[in-house]
Amino acid sequence: MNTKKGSASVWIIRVFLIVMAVFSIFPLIFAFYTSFKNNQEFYQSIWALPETLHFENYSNAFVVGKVGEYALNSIFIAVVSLSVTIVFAVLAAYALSRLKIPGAELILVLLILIQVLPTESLIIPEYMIVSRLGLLNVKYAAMIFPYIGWMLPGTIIILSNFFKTIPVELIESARIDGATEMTTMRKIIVPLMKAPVATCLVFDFCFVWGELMWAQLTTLSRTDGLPLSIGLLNFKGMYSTEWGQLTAAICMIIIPMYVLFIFTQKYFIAGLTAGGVKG
Amino acid sequence: MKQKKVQGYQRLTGYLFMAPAAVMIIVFMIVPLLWNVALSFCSWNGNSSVEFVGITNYLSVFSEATTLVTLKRSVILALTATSVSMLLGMLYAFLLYRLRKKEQSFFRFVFFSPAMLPMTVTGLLFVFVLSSNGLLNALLSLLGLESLQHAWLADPNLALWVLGIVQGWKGCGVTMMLCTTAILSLPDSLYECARLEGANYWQQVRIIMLPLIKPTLKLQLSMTVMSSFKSYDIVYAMTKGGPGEFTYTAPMKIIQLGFTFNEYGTAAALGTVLVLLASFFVIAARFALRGETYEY
Repeated sequence: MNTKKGSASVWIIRVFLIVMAVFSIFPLIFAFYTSFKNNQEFYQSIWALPETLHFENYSNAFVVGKVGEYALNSIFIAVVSLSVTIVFAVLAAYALSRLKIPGAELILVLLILIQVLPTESLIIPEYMIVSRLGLLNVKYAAMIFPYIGWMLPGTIIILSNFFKTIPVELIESARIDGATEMTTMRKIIVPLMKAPVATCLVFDFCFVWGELMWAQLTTLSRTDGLPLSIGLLNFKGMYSTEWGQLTAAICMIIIPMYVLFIFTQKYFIAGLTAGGVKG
Repeated sequence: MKQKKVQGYQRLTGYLFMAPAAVMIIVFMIVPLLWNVALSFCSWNGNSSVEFVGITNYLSVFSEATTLVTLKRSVILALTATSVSMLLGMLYAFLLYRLRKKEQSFFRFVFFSPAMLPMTVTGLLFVFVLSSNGLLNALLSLLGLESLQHAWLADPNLALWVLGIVQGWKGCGVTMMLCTTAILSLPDSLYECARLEGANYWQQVRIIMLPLIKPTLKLQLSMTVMSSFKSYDIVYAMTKGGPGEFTYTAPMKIIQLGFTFNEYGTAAALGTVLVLLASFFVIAARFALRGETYEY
């Protein structure tokens, strides 16, 4: 595709995209500089830059608003549930696509079906199961276990599509050389997996980091172990008109995500391109 | 003989590899799904014994106006969000393709970034933008368009649509990303032919790209429709169902029926109806995009 990059129509496109980009990103930039203002400055002029940098918005949000505590909870939940999901999913996807399980295709179709169903259709029994297993009384557990179960189908589908693109010969030759299945996985498959795993990690991370409904239900009777999604809303309830602190809290959550995404973008896009997600 | 042994061994390893995932999926997805369907035919308040009541719960979902209307709101929200996400995402993808590689990756980053934000954060950010003394109204007054100012989230006629647009805006990044990767995987030679025939860019989009990326579009459309029905997060974060109950959607109602009123049976029935409704729209969408797929 080598049309002229300087022609008039391309410039129109460029200008349009720049306008849209400004619209998309402006609220973020605006939230960023509002986060250094106090309320008085905010109401004086919504557009003006902060006169003095009110860093106390950040420390207040972090300590008084407990954003720090919520963030730690969220990080813990995300790390545990994502690691378990990825390990389980890699094993299952490898088995389904490369180990000649009878009915593997049928299982994959079933996984696609249950994966698209909204969580709304199962939360009530889910709650009963979690409560009977006694998970409600264990900090984090009531969230982590179901999250793993919910993320697995989608992750397995993406990874098994990827495994199908690895030539059988590569695996066969390792087997002939006497490698066990575990060694084959460790030495051959895992090194090839960066891109699809990055794709899954981004999708799954976004889910866990933002999930609200289930988190609310399972922490109704708790005051500890609350994740960020709930914490932020509590925070909003407490300081609904303290724009400076609210935007400071928003920034503290957004900035690490942007950093993470900038670093994983390359793998993430490669993973999508490699046919990980296809109809 | 040996061959068979090797195969048996492989199969055994396969089952072992699948076991952990299978246990988690069965306990936390398949059992609750089936249980939910069973429960929707029963009456249960959490303490009483479970009693089979046939389709009574479904009848009460459809006869109770306050419940039925939440389904209607869910449909409006989902269709708005889906349209915005699909159209905007495709537009971005096709426009981006005309720019240089460096510019492409910059814009892709900007447009995709909202997709990874938690819904609650997006919600709060837009409360900040859309509240009556928020960013959008300030912008409008700066442009001298005071007459267009609204209390975007407090206006009963607007709030639901506004939520749909916000959800679509958040989702369009994924559509763009999937379309872009689908376009990039098309062989260059196709465009060369078209250009030799004198087709301009929009003809190329219409005649070559759209038909060839149809499988991706179909997939993304189905996923977007389904996920747009999961509206709990955005509604809760932005309006909590208000003003009045004008943005109270079915997922909120399920939680209310179940965990506030202890009508678990009715809540389960509403959940099942919501899934059937969403599936209906997915099937309709796939039907609209039916037709042959092309090999290239």
